[in-house]
Amino acid sequence: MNALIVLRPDATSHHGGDAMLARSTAQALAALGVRATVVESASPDARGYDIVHLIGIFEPETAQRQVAACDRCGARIAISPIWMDLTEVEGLARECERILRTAAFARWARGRLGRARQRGAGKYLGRRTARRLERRSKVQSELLCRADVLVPNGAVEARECALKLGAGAVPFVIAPICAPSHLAVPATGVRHGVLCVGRIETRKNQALLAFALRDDPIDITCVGDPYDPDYFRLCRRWAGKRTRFAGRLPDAAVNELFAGAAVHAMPSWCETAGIASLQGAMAGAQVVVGDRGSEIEYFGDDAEYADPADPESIRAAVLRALRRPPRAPGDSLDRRVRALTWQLAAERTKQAYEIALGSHESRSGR
Amino acid sequence: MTAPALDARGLRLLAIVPPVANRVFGGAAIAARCTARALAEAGAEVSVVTTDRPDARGFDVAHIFGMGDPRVLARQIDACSMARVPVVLSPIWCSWREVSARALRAVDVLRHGRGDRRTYRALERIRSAPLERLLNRSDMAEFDHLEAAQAKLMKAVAVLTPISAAEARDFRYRLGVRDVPFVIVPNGVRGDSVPPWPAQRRGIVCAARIEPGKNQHMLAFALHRDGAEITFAGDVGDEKYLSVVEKWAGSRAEFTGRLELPDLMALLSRAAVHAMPSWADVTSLAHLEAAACGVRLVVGDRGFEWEYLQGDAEYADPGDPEAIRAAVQRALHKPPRQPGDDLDRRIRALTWRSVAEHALRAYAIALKAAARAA
Repeated sequence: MNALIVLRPDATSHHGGDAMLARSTAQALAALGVRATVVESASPDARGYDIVHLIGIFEPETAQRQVAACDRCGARIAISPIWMDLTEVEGLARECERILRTAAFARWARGRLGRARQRGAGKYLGRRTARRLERRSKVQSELLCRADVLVPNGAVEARECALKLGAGAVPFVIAPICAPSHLAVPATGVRHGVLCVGRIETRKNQALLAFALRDDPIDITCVGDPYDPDYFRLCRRWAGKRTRFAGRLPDAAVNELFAGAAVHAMPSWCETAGIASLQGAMAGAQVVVGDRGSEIEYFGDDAEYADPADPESIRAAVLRALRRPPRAPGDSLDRRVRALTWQLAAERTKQAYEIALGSHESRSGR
Repeated sequence: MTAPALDARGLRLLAIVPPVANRVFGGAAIAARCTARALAEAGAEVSVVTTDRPDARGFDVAHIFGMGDPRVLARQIDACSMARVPVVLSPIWCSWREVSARALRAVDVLRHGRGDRRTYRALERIRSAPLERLLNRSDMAEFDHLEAAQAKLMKAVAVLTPISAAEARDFRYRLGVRDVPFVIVPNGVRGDSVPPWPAQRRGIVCAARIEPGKNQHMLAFALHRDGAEITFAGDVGDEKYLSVVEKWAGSRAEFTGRLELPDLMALLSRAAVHAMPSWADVTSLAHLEAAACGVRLVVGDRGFEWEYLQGDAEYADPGDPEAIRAAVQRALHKPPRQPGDDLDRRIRALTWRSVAEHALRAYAIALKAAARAA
């Protein structure tokens, strides 16, 4: 079987979880006898391939062009949606940012954040943004309904794609996302402090994390590219004296930080699994994640969950995580994340390809 | 390889089922009894009571199953608190707003409708309208009040045991229940009662109480032109509702009432498809047991079965007759399932022993918290 795995054109310059998913899956597929080629293109040449696998519909216009190119070749299409509902990010998260930007004192900010939470996400969506999100969802819905098979990262994502994008009739196979195991090193010595690895951006919510812990005697290290200077400024404004922004670091350095951290905290507004959280778990850290995305499906009751809009909830979750007894190799969280292998993801992906190839004839009659 | 022995010796557990279980046969009571049996086999001393005023004295932990009526749950929790026994709660929670807003309205449409374009248009309007437009202010206030009461009670227990990650996610987000520890305790399947899978299967079964939330009215309407062979197996709570289902089910439909477990399993193992496109199922035991019998499944897309059934079921919008019909057709046209297929393997792992194992983790957390508090 020949598969063409297609990433967005800037996947190398703007590295993200989608690129890791594509490359790791391709590598693991090879061991199952599937020749998988990874390309970064908006108009992939699918000639000669049995199936084209698109990774991510978070840039719907790009995905549309990719699908159109595949259609011209008559290729069968699998899509890993990596779909996240951005309503809260564009509504409540932006409002929280505005509050942190304009509040003179932490006490004021807390009060206003509390009132914003009461009002809910929808109240802060401007008409223009709401229309943009609606258009975006419509295109994403068309893309998913066009696919021969979907390869979501979890049941929560599959359900959301059915309920919010109307893709319930498209067959799907769940292929989990996994941590890059080559990065995990065994931890030695005493663990210490809180680590947050991820691009510094609204969705990952480092500003509220820094705000929540600013008065606590906890060392916090944020690792990641600050793509948005305004947001980065906001994070630094509210960070306490013991918070450090390390920028993007080489894998080996990040790996060392994972091995020494007591807690990996990333209270995101939306996430499928959160590869950094998986890495943190695999490296033996306690894990704090947001409660809006699919993280709960991956970490179950072995992580602490926080409301990303509530600094008190974030702080309480981090403190609970710090109070947890130290992790040990083979503990429940360790077993949970180690069960998520790229081999398993590849097996599921191959199964999805087989469904797509078998379903091609019937799809035309659908 | 056999699993290591489960040791619950020394634990005195009171499993509590709400009194409604005496009238309405449901999954909560089955879960309570099967969990209790598995724990007793592991050496625990277990009593199962069906009451709103349990006497928890002398027990280490009380485990309440289900929280439909907050007043009943409040009495159960109060009684346990008076006896200073920590409470573990299996909420079996999902929102009933859509049942009230969409399912009941659709029942009205189908009671009077003739199945012509007007009927379809009316159903389409119900399906696409926002909930706030379908529920009036007093309905909304009632739901807000109910959910606030449920949230308050959930916050009053030591540990919550949702059936799935999605249920936990939902009650955290929708009800704001964030600070109570939780342990995901999956549903179990009565695997011992599953007969061998036959070579030939036919017809559609819907095994559930006949009630609007289970959506038999829409299933019957969705298939009314196909002359499908469909068997409805379940208690009838409301004769008026039954008449709507009968109106659209046609002469080939059969209503068996509630069946004893062996008869139900036999029925399921003869069927080609188990279709129950519910509006509000946390994780339906009927679907799981049907899956264990080798049946193809048609499931409502609002529930939390996704984690269990994954891509091995057909999902349908419970408000859309065309979607339900298409899902049933897809299920009927798929090749027959084989013993040991992916779904079968996943379902066979859902033993009551494994349920008991997860429940024991929850009890340990509750006991530790109680010891700290003391």
